[in-house]
Amino acid sequence: MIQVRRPQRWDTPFSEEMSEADVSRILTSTLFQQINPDNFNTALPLAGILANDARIVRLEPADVLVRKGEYGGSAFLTLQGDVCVIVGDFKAESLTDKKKSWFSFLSKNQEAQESATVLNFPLFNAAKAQQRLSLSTEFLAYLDKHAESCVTLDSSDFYGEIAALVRGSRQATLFAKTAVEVLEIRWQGLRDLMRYDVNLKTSIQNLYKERNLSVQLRHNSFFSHLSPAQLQAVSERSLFESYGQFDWQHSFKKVTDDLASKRLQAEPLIVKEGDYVDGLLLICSGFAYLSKKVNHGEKTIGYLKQGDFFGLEELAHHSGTGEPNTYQHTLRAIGYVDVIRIPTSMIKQYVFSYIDKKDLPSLFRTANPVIDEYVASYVDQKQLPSLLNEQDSFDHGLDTDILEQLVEQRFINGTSTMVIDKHRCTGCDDCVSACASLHDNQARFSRAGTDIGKYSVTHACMHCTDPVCLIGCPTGAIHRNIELGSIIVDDNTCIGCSGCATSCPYENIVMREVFNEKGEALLDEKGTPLLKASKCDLCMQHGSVPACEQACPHDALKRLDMGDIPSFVDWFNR
Amino acid sequence: MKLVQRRLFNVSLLCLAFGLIIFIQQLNSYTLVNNAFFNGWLLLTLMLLLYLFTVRKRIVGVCKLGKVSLWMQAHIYLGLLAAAVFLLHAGWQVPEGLLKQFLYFIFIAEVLSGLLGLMITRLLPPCLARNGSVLYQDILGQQQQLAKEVEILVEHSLATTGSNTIAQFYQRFLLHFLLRPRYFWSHILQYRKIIHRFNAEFSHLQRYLNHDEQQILQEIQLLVVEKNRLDYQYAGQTLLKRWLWLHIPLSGILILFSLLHLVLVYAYIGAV
Repeated sequence: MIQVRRPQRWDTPFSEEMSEADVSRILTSTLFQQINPDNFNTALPLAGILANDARIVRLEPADVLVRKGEYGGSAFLTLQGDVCVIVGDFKAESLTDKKKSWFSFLSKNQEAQESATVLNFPLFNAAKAQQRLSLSTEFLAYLDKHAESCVTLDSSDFYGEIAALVRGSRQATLFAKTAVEVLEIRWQGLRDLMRYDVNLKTSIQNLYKERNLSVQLRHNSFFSHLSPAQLQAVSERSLFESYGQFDWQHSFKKVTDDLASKRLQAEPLIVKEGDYVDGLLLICSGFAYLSKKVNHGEKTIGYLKQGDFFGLEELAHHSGTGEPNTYQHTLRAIGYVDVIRIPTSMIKQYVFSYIDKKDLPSLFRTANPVIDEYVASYVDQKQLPSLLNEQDSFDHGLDTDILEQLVEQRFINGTSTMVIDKHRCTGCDDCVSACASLHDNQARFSRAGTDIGKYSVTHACMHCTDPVCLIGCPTGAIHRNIELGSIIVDDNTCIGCSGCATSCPYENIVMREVFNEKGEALLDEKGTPLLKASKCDLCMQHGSVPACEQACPHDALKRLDMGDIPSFVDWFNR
Repeated sequence: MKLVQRRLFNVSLLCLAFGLIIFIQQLNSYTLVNNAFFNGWLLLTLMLLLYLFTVRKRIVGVCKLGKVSLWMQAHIYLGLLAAAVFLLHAGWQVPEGLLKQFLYFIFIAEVLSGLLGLMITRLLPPCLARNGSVLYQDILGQQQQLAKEVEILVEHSLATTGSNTIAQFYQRFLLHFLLRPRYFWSHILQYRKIIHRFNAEFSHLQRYLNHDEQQILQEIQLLVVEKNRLDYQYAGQTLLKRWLWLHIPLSGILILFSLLHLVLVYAYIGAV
């Protein structure tokens, strides 16, 4: 056994080049002058945060700061020059676009593809090694001509906060209009600034709400036919609402052992079944529960994810018949959810007025008098689920019990959830061996897990849509891969604090002892073993399909993206 | 593609391939090509292809080779095709000569072990899953824990009730059962007489016990039922792992002797 110094949070700063002079200069900026350094903990001083969790990025004109769709957990502040945001979706015309196959018309992303403006020149110059990606000359000229597509950001506020706060992808491409100096502060620093300065926290949260509202409306194909002025009008009248807590894992762990009904009741209520319909709800981030009252309890009908609407059928029914209406389902946040509430009048004026009445969604199924009568007449409530199962299977094509458990246990959060079909799994452990052989003979998952019918959701990192394990990491060792969004741990910066393992609601991260090349365990000054977080990395170094899935000879194991409902329903019902 | 559709597709492909082989054989009969050579070479090729599956399983992290499950499907259906070609090659009868007979029976054993494997890998997992899954490596540990818990309960009954009836019952019936996994083949063959016998013994004993002892006995019975469940898991999972101990060595022997057969055939070709 070897004794070494226990690694500390700031052993590896965000940038080695950050000098004391840089920190002093940043502290004189308008935004930081409003922050009182005395509010900070002595172990986490303001200057220390800036020196270790921030860096200065210098860009030439046309250089891209962040690209839409890539993942990143940092926020930015312009120190010098102008940074612009590209408004709208653009894509370069490719040869494949010119010859559209019949298959492209069936593509589920067709709407999104159609809403993007297609330009007949490349948008970016290919980045060479050590060089930043930059906008092409043609695209710059296009943006100059179309002033509405390019907005200069206010240098007195943070930006990029949406991706940092929701642990998601960038909502827009940002580029340098002039030569700029930008302060980039990683999530760990931003989190601590917000923790010790209430005003900054409020200000960032307000920015987040305001910008997210307009971004979500602009990117939604439902409103793609509206002009910027009309969109602005909708945006001004809409409300941005947040339910639950950003770090929902603590409350989730407290209720996991409770009864399903109790767990459901504990989730923050957004809309109650029977409430008057006052608008259309657009899920902005996170997931929401959809349930229906059955006798004295609530039955899970499904879940909504980012970009989904709630209340559309009710509004359409109202618009089609003129009858006053109420919400037919209850909507609850699953942990944390952001919702945009768009008033009925706005939907009528800007959406339904553009659609023929006969094209509006048909009446909701629960308004079916035959079913209503059947339900009402049934004294024996135990018989009800079979009827409701048939009805619900129409929604997702998935057995209700499975859907209910996937939602209640929040497995729907996974983008690469490892599911094993126990009726096909022979327990050969080829998946475990394959994983171990690619990871120094230590498998990164356990085949044990939660049983859901004939399936088992194993203890393997699900690479969540909302990775709460990232929130508490002091060094940023656990982070998203910038391109794919997979959650990976950087062994070099992991200090073994166990924060991520404790935060993971699914217990999919384990702490492992650290050994040197000779196989000797490393201990700290107090003789406590040093640990590192260990979790599935989707075998990113070894190809596009994880080794576990590749190795399964019986088609029993699959990594499923729970956000892609048709795909996972297909696999469940194969 | 749904699993049923995939099965239908594969079976159709298999029938088509076999039909093609029969057709080529018919064509050969009009020429001077010896069908035994055609079948023999085809069979050897198929056997080598089947063996490649074992090689593929050992290569990890190379996506370009395709998923192992795809290779598994190919292995199953090529195996069935090889069995059909083998029957054509052998002329639907046991051949003469010691080596040929040895090869014949080894091939039959190999095919049967493969079919047995296919059957148990399809039938056993659903039964095991319905019984409450447990990881193979955890079974022995859990059984030891159960044995310890039963022992504690027996000691508790001795200490609190002053009677040794339960202890004697434990000594006579349970100790041997709890020591390690038992009744392997009974579990495999779904033979339920064992657990019924235990239940009968428990019911029989109940009439001689007071209320406190009955409660202790009930707790022990629950643990025994759990032990029996783990025995079933152990038996099923062991069989799922061990059938390959027959199939893989046989395939090695088969390929080795097939090559020997090939050499001998060509060595004595002039004598044919």
